[in-house]
Amino acid sequence: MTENQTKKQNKRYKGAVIGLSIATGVLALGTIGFGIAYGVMQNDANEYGTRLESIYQKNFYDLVDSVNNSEIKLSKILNSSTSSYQKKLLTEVSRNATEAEVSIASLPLSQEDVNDNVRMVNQMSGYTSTLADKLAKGGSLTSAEKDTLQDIYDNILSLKTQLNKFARKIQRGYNILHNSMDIDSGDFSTQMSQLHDIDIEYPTMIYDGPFSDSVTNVAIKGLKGDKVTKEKASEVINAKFKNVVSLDYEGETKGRFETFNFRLKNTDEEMLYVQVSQIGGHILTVSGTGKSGSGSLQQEDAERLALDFAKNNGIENPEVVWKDSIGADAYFNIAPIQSGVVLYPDLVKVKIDLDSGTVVGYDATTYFTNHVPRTLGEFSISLDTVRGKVPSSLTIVGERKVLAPLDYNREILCYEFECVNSEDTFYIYVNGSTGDEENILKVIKTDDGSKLL
Amino acid sequence: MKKILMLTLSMFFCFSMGLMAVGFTYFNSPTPSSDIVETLTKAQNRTVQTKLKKWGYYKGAVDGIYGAQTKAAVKLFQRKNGLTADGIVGPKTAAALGMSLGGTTSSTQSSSDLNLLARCVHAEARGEPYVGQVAVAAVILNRVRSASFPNTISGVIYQPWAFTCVNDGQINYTPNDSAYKAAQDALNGWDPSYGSLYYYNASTATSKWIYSRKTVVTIGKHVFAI
Repeated sequence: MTENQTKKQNKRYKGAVIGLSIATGVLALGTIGFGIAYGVMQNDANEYGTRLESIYQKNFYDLVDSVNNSEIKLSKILNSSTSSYQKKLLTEVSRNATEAEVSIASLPLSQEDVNDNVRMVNQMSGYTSTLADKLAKGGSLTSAEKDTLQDIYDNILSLKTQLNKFARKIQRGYNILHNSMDIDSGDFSTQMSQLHDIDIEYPTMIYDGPFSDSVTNVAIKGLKGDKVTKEKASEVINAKFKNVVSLDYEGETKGRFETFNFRLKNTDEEMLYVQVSQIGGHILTVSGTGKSGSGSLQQEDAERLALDFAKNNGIENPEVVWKDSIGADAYFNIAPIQSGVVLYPDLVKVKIDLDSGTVVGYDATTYFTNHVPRTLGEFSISLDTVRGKVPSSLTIVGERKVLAPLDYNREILCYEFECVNSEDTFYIYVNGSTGDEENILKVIKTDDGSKLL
Repeated sequence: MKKILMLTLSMFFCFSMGLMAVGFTYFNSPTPSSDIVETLTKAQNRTVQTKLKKWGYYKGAVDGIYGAQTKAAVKLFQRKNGLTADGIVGPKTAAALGMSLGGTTSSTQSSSDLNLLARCVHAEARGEPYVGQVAVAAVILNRVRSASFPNTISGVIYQPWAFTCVNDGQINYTPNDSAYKAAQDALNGWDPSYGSLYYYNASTATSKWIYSRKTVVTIGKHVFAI
């Protein structure tokens, strides 16, 4: 090896060493940087985790409190004989049950584990408030109702015992978040689903509250006729809609109503989804968006189109009872009229696209659920007598006789007064035979048209 | 030696790219945005119509309904007054009309329920046919009415693990027009799912339990069930 060659090699070697040192240095710096970044992330994650765990634990303790409170109050009700005191306690139990529902639903539990518990407290809330209403009207608790309350009490007591046991576990450091990362098989879900088995028979005849099973399983009274074929259903659509370009079969619905479903395209390039009942071949719903154009059609023309569509589809004696418009869509609520009385339980809803005049929305499910020829009975109190009950601060601008679905599954003949003061509009419903105010609706102005509350 | 150097450098390069990727996915979670155009209340529409009618821009009825005629009148007014003729009464147009948009005397409320419902529909069912979007909104409302679920729209939507869009943050995306309309229709009582309480995408659903529910109807990619 010559001196020159050795020098060259040494130089190369030196270069490589320097390069390698730099690379190692940068790598080390990178690793440190990564370490710091990872540490910061971990720190953040831990902090978020701790915050979330606190919220879960608060919800859990709230749940324990609500269940504890309702257990004590239920036991008092069962040992009380004074209606006014029972009513006060029932109202409180109902509120405790609602609070319990909110707490349960905020815990990280899978749907199948949480459903039964939520159902139990919701029904408990509905049942106790129904009983409280009954007592407020001067009734007293029957022995059957006391039996149901005893049933509820037994369940609440077992829930209470187990929840308190679990609360002690949490106090000893059980972490809800860590045990619920896998929602389906996590320990928390498993533990909570084993809390108890619910077995309460609510007497449906007595209890028809908001969450009673009889409300969710309402029978369909208004659909009559033979079962139609899918071909017949498409003929029905072709007859009722103008300008049909194409109609494609989209399958069946097998729920409360059985329907044939179609996708319709018209000459205005609008896509509609139409459901036709298998019994009787009636159009049940139409869903579509319209074109969001300028909306050149007049309200009156749209109203006529909506009424015509309802009439064409077998809605008896329809009249528009409420209208509103949002953007280029006009909404109409249509009800059948029987001997001058508006049948609110049989409401049909129609949406018209104010550009093309197409029916882009239609819902007759309520109508076909409820509509039967009715024996309406008499208004035993005169309109003049009832009118005096409207507060003098309101000006009456409209009066109607109506059949109102005021209670779950119950219909009452009422006088409807549309009233205004300087700012608001109210609808007041007065019972046609007792003269009592049954309901007051207030028109709420929102960013998106008016709503009734 | 050069090779070793290159190898080290490329390893470092890969390493830092990886680091960047980690950082990117970590910080790139969806961020909320809200650029929804506020519409006028009926009372405000009435004020607009009254003023435009007085000045001869508007010939229709003062009914508080912001229809085509009102919009055309607003556009005309905007053109005459050197404003952007978009037919929308924003702060500038309102000022030119001599009216204030905030602080009306009567009680108005914003539709946070509608907005929340629309967000959920948009996140869960955008790309689905319109009726499928209405059905998703209807499922949420059916849950509100059902005893087995929370009793408010926010309670149902934010129930832990009930909707994937809440877990991955897509609920915070701004809903499009179609989602709004679907939410509105469902609130008005439309229910093409006939009381369904569940829906799932048959090709991606992982829970075995969901298949045990009774199917009501299939719309687009979603199976609706009770």
